[in-house]
Amino acid sequence: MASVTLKHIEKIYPAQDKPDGKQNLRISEEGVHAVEDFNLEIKDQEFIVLVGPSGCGKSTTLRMIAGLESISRGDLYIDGTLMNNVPPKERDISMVFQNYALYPHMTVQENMEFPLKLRKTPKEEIRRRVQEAAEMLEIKDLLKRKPGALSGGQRQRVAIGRAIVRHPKVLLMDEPLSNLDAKLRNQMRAEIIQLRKQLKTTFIYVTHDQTEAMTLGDRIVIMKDGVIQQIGTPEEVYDHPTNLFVAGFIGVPKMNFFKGTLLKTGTEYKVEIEDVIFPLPKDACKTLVSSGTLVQDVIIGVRPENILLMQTESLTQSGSTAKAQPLPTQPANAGLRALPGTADVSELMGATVQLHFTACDGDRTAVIPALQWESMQLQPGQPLAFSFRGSDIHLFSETSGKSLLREPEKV
Amino acid sequence: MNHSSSRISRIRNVFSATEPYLYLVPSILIFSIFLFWPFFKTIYLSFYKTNKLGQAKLFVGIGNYKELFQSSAFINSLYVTLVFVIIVVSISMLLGLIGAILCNKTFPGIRFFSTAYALPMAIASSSAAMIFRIMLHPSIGIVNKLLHLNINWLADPRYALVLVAILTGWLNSGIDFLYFSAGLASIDETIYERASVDGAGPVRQFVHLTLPGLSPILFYTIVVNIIQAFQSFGQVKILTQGGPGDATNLIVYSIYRDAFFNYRFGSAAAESVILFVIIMCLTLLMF
Ligand SMILES: Nc1ncnc2c1ncn2[C@@H]1O[C@H](COP(=O)(O)OP(=O)(O)OP(=O)(O)O)[C@@H](O)[C@H]1O
Ligand SMILES: [Mg+2]
Repeated sequence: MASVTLKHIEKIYPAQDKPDGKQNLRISEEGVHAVEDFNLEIKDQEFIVLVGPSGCGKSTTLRMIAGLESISRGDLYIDGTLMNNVPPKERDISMVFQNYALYPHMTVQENMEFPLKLRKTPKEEIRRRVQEAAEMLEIKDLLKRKPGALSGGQRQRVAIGRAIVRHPKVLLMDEPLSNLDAKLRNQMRAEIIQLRKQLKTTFIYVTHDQTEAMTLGDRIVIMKDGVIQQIGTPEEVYDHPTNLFVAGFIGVPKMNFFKGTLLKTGTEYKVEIEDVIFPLPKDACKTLVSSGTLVQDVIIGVRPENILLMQTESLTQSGSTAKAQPLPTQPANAGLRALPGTADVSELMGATVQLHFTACDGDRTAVIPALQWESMQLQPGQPLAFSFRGSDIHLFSETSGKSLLREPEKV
Repeated sequence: MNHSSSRISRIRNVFSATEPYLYLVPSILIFSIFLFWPFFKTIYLSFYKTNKLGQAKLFVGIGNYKELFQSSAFINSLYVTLVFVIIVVSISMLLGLIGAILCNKTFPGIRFFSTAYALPMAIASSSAAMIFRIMLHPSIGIVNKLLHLNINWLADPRYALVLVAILTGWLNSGIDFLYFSAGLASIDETIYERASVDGAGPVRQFVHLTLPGLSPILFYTIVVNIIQAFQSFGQVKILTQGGPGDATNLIVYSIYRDAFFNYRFGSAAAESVILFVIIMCLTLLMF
C-alpha cells in the first residue's frame, strides 16, 4: 500500500576505465551517467514495468529505490516520505533478485521466515504467513528443502515467496524470470498476474523482455542509455510510440521502417516512399497541421501485422508500375498503392506466418494469416507487392527520430 | 604367427595392468625416502635406548613412553603446548578472518592491504622471530619505548609463552587470510543485499550469512592451524630456547632438546610418536 515518486533521480558512477563502447551513456567530469533525470509517479498498487535493452539503467533505478545504491541526485518518496537517506531495511520494501539470492544454508522455510524473524514478528504469525505464501505459490512440499535441491522454477517461486511474506509496501523484482526456460517463463508470468490480483502491493518490475512488459504492466517505462524514452500503458506505447527506439523495441517482430518524404498540399499530408504515395488519415493530418510540421524527410514505420501482401499481376514485372490486385481473402483493399518486394524465407508460427522479404533496400517482415499464406504460394526469390493503410502508419522525423504524430505536450 | 601375436597381447596386458603403478613409482620413492622410512625408524627407535650416535642399543619396549608420562617436564611440555596451540589458533584465525572481511570490499589501495595481510605467509619464522626479539629487547626494544615500561619480556615466564604465541599466530594468519578470502569470495554477494533489504544489520549478516557460508572452510582452516601450531619450532628456538625455565618448552622443541642436547634419541623418538598420535587424533576427530 504505497505510492512511489521519483523526482529527477540520477545515478552517476564515478568514471572508471573507458566504457566498453557498446553503451552511449553520457559521461561528464562527474562520471558515467547511468540514470538521467528519471521522473515517475507510481500510484498505490500499480504494476510498473521498467524495460529496456541491457545496460540501460533498469537495475540501477530499482536498486536506488531499494536503497542498495545511493541516489546521486533527485528525490525519492515512498508514501510521501523522502527516502534518499533511509537505509533499505526501513523502507519496507521487498526485492526479488535476478539470481534469486536464497540463503544456501537455510531451508526454504527458514529462508521465508528470516525477514519476519528479523522484524520480531510473533511465532504464530510467522507460521501463518509462511503457510499462506507457500500455499499461494504451491511450494508447501518444498519447505524443508535447501535451495540447492530445487529446480530453477521452484527457486524462483521461493524467491517470490520470501519477498511477499512480509507484506511489503513495494515489491521490487529484477528480471525474476530471465533464468527460466521459455515455457516456465510463460507459466510464471501467468502466476505473477495471478499473484498480483491477490496481493495489494505496488509492483516495480524490471525486464528486458518486451513481451513480459506488455503482458504484466499497468504502465511501462521504456529506457535507453539511462534516459526514459516513454512512459505509458501497453496500448499507448504500442499504438503511439514516441520515437524510433520505442517503436522498434516494442512489438515482435520488429516494426518495419521505410525512408520517405512527407508532402503537404493545403491541409492534406501524404508520404511518399519510392515514388508511391500514401495519403495520411484525417486525424493524423490534423495533428501535423496543429504542430506546424513542414515538408521533410521522414521515417515511416509499419508493424509487420499491418503489412498487406498482394498478388502481383505479372510475376516477372517489377517496379512501382506493377498493378496490384487485392487478394480475395482480404478485406477490400482496392485503391491501395503497392510497393514491390522480393520474398525471402518464411516461418510458420502457428496461426500466422512470418514472411521475411526484401523491399526498399532493406529486410522487412510481414505477419499474415496462415490461410492466406497457403493461397499465395510464394516461393523464396519470387516478387511480391505489399501495401498498408494510411491509418497504420507511424511517422518519425528523420533527423530527431521523434514521432510526428503525437502532440508535443504528451511526449 | 598366431602364437607370437598372442604373446604380444599377453605382454600388452601385463603392461597395461602395471602401467598405473609405474607412474606412482617416483612419488612413492620420494615419500619412502623422506617420509615413510624416517617415520618407521622413529617408531623403531622409540622402543630402544640409544648411544650418542643415535644407534639403537638396548630394547626397552614401552619403557621410553613410561618414563615420559612419569616425567613432570614432559607433562609440563604437553600443557604448555596445549595453551600455546589455543592462543595461536585463536589469534591466527581471528586475524585472518578480520583481514579477509576487511579486504572483501573493493576500494582503492585494496591490493596493498591484501598483500599486507597475506605477507606473514612469506616471512620465515626465524627472521620474524629475530625482528620480534629486537622489538622486545628490554633496553632498546620499541615495545618498551612506546609503553614506557621496563620489562624483560622474553625472560619473564608470565609473558614469554604468550608473546611467542602471538608471534606465531600472526605468522600463521597469512594463510588463514587466503583461505578466508577464498571462502568469502565464494559467498554470493546478492544475499547480503537481500539481507539488508530484509532488515539484517551487519552483525546479523555476519552471524547468519558469513559464518555459515564460511563453515566448510572454517573447519578445514582450524585443522590446518592446529597442526601448524603444534609444529612451531623456529620462533621458540630463536626467542626463548624453551625458557625461561620450561615456560615455552613446546613438544617439538623438547624433542629437539632431548635428541640433540641430551642425546636421548629413544626418548625423543617416543615424544615424536606421541605428538604424531595427538595430531592424528585431532585430525580424525575433526573430519
Ligand atoms: N558500479 C558501477 N560502476 C560503474 N558503472 C556501473 C556500475 N554499475 C553499473 N554500471 C553501469 O550502469 C549502466 C546501467 O547498469 P544496470 O545494471 O542498471 O543495467 P540494466 O539496465 O539493469 O542492464 P541488464 O539488463 O543487463 O541487467 C551500465 O552501463 C553499467 O555498465
Ligand atoms: Mg539488470
